[in-house]
Amino acid sequence: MTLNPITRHREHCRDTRAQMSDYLDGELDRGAARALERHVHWCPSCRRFLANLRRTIEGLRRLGELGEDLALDGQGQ
Amino acid sequence: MPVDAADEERLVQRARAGDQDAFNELAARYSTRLRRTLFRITRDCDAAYDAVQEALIRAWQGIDRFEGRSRFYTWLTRIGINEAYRGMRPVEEPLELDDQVGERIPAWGNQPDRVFESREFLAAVDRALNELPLDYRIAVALRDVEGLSAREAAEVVGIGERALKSRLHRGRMALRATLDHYFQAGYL
Repeated sequence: MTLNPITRHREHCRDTRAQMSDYLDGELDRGAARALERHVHWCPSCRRFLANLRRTIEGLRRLGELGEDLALDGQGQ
Repeated sequence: MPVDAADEERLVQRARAGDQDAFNELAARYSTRLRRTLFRITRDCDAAYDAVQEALIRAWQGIDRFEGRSRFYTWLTRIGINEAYRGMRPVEEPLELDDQVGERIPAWGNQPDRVFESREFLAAVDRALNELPLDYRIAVALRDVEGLSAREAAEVVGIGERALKSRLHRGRMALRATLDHYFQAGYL
């Protein structure tokens, strides 16, 4: 059965997003990384998704750099 | 403060030979970091403090069993997490992830490229981390906040690297979804 282009695109989006963590950690092989970059280049939704995932991870790393100040700030919440 | 590996190895050897001062020096190096890690997992200052104390006692009692195949901190963190687990039950329910494809592209503010770091955003990241199921929270806290490698984090948790990466990815995806409205507002 041939998938229609929209369904195929969505499947591609799903596969791409499943690899984003490994991509951002530099753990995808070159071919897979290039394929992800090609998809993200043409897909605005996945491009935004990747950018926001990257910002999330950067925020987490920043938390670690700040030490325990912020962690203890939030202990009562 | 970066820890010299050879110096650490010497301290471990002395501790294994029964030198309590050497062990105390190791404990002094790592107890604050361990307490911070355990606080991020337990979200309870007293529980984190108690888990650190218990972990240090157990580490001292079991230093003979530390064979140096991992970093001392990795080994100590594993003991600490086991202690922190007491009284905490991991959440088993799968997390509903907001990663549906074809989602509506959110409207961006007037300055989509404007990037500004704010304490408000970081506090939101911290809160979102706190809301993650425990297994995901531990993976994210060890890998992204504490900066352990995936292999080290897997060792600490006592699972395979692949399973750790799966938890990490799911945790990150859930955080991204929770923080989405901050991104729409242009926060970083």
